[in-house]
Amino acid sequence: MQLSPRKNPTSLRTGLALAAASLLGPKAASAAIEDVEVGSGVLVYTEPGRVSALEAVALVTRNFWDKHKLSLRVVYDTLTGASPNGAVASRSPQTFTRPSGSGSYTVNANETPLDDTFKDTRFAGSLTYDRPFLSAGRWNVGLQGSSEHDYLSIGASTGITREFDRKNTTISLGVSGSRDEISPEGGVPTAFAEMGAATGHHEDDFTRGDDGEYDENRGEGSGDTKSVVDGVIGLTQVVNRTTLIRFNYSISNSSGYLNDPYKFVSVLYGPDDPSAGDPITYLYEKRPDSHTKHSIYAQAKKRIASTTMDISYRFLWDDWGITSHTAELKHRVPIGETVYFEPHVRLYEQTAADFYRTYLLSGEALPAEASADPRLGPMTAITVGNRVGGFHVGEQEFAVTLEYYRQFLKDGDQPAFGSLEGLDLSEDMGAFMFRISHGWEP
Amino acid sequence: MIGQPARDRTLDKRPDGIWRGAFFSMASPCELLARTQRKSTAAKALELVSEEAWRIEAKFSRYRDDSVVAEIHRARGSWVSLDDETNRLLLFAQQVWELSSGSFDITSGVLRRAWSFQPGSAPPDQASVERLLPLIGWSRVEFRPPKIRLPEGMEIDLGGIGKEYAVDRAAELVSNLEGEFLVNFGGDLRAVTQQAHDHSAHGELRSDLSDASTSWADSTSPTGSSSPADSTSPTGATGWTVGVESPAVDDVAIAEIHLASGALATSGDSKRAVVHGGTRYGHVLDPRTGWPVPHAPRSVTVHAPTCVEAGMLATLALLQGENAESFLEEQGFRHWCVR
Repeated sequence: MQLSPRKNPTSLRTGLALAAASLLGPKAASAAIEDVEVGSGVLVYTEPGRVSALEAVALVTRNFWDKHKLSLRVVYDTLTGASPNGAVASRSPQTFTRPSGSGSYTVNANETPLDDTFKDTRFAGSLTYDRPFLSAGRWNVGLQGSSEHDYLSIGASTGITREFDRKNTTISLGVSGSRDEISPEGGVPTAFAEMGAATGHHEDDFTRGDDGEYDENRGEGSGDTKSVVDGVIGLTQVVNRTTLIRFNYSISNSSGYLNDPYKFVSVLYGPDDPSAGDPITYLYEKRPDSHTKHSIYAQAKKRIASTTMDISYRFLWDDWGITSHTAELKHRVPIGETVYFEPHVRLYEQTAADFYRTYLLSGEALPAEASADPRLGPMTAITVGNRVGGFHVGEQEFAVTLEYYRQFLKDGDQPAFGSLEGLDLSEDMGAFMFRISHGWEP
Repeated sequence: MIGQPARDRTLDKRPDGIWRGAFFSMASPCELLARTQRKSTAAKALELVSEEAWRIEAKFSRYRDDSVVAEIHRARGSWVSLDDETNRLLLFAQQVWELSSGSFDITSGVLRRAWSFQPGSAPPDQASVERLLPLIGWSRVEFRPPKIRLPEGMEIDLGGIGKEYAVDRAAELVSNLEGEFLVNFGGDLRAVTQQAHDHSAHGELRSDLSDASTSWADSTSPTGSSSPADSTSPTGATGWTVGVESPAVDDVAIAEIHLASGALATSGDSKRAVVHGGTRYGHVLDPRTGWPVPHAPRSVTVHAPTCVEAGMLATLALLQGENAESFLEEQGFRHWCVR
C-alpha cells in the first residue's frame, strides 16, 4: 500500500472531524435501561369540622427498549364530611332534602349550611406510553379513566416535546379530551327548580310516592354529560448554569352539564318585606353550559449556593368572569447529603364568576344563571408548608409534607340585610394536608 | 508485563448531590460524574463506563499478551485479520498520519528502545536513534482492511489514541441514560450534557399530590386540567466545571472552564521528560527524526467536539513545537498551552 504523507493539508479541522466521525460513527451499543420504578403516596386532607379526604396513589413505570416508558398510575380517594350546599346562613334552623331525595338534614340557626351527606369514593387510573420521537423529541399518548358512584370520566391525551439548542430549549405541546357522565343521586335536578320536599325520613324508606314533588324537580333524567378539551403549549429554557425558566399557556373548554347537582341558591324575602333576609325556598343552581379557561404560567428555578429557589406565577381567566392569580415560592435547602427541607408559601386570589350570587331575592326576575357555590365566589387563600425529603430507608426514598391551607371568602356584591345582618355569609375555611410520598427502584 | 489490574470501582454521592464513580484503568485514575436523580442510573453509567474502559485497555494494550496489538506483533511479518473496531482505529491512525504529514505515527513506539525517560537518564546517541528509524513509518505497513501485515521488528502503539477513544466510547454509552455525565479518564474528558429530566416516579407523584389544595377548594379544579408537571431537575444546573491542570504542579489548575459539551484532552510531557546537560528532552518524539520536538510546549489542552479530536489536536500541536499556539489558533479550537 503506497501512501505518502500529504503536504499542507487543506483543512486539518475538517479532515480530523471526518476521521473521528468514522471512528466513532457506528453507534455504541445502546445502553437501554430496562427496569421498573415504583412510586406511591398518601395524602390526608382535612378541613376541621368539614370534609376529610384520603388519597392514595401508586405509580409503576416500566423503562424498556431505548428510553421507552410505560406508566400505570392508580389513584384511590375517599371523601367524607360536610361541604357548603350554597344556601346562606339564617336566623332560624334550615332543613334541606338530602340529594337522594329520601330524608333531610337540618342546619342550626346562624350556621353556614353544610350538606353532611358527602361520602364519595373515587378510583382513577391512567396508562401512558412515552417514547422517543424524531431526533430530539418525545411523544406520549395516554388513556385516563375515573369513576365515582355518580361520575364517570373517560379521556385520552397526547403530547410531544422537542429539544433545541443543545437541549437548552424545550418546547412542548399537549392536547387531551375527556367525556364525563354525571348521574347524580336522585337524578339530574332541573336548573332553577325548587328543592323538593323529602319523600321519607329514612335512607332505607322504600315507600316514597311515585309522583312526589321531589321527583318532578329532578326531572332531567338520571344522567347528563360533559365534554372537556384541553390544550397546552410550553417553553422551558435553560438560561445559564444555575437558572431555568418555563412558560406555559393552556386553554380548556368544557361543555355540557356543568352545574353542581348538589348546590342550591337561597331565595330570600326582599329588604322591604317584614321577613327581610329570611329564606323562602332554595333553587338548584344553574351555570352556563360552556366554560372556556385560559391560563399563563411562568416559573423560574434558580440555584443559589447549594439551595434552589423556585418562584412561579399563574394567571387564569375564563369566560365566566373569574380571574385568578397564584404565586408560589419554594426554597429547597439541603441538610446533610441527600435530605432537604423545602418550605413553601402559595398565595391565591380569585374574583367571582359573573353569575355568582350569594342569594336571590323573591320578586326579582331570575337571572340567566346563578350559583352560590363558594368555589366560584371571591376569595383569597394562602398555603404554607414544609417538605422534608430525600431520606432513604434502604433503597426506598421518602418525602413528607405538611401544609396548612386557609381560605378567606370575601363578601360578594350583595350586601347583608334584614335578618342576615350580623351573620357570617362567607365563612373562612382552613385545611391541613399531610403527605407521604415514596419512590423505589426495585 | 503488568498483571491484571484490580477491577474495583466505587460510587459515592457528593455533598452537592452529584454521584461520583471512580476506578483505575489505562494507567490512570478514572472518574465518572453523574448528575441524575436515580442511584441506579449512576450505578448503571459507572458500570458501562468502567467496563468499556477495561475492555478497550485489555484489547489494545501493548502490555498484554492477549491484546490485538500483541497478536499483530506476534505475526512477525505475516498477515493478520482484524475485527471491525481495530480496523476503524487503524484507519483513524492512518488518516491522522496523512493529515499531519507523517508527524503522528503509531509505529514510532520503537523509539522507546533508545529513549528512556527515567529520571537521571541521558539522551541516546545519534547512532542508536538512527538504527531505529528504518522500523518507523506507517508507509511501511501494509494495511488492507481488514488485514494488516507489519514488517518484522516494527511495532504499533495505540496508546496515543486509546484513552481518548475510550472516553468517547464511554460517553456515547451513557448518552442514552437520563442525566448529565462527565467521563474523565486521567484528565481526558468528555461531557454528556442534557437537560436533566426528573421523570422518576417520585417526581411525578409529587406533582400529582401537590395540587390537592386547589382541587377541592377553589375554582381551578372543575376540569382538572393538568398543571405543568414538575419535571425538571431541581437545580436547573447544566454542564461541568473542570480544571485544566498545571503540568508542573499536581492538583493546581491553570484554568477553570465550564464544559457544557464536547471534550478536553491534554498532551504534554509533565511527568515524562529528561533533563540532561541543561537541556530538557520532552517525551514527544518526532517520528521522522527520532528526537524530541524542539521548543514544544510542556502541555497542550484542547477543547473539541470529541475526545479523539481534542487528543489528536493536542498531540499535533505539541509536534508543531514553537508554532503550537499559532497552529491551534489557525484550526480555531479553544486551547491552553503551558510552556
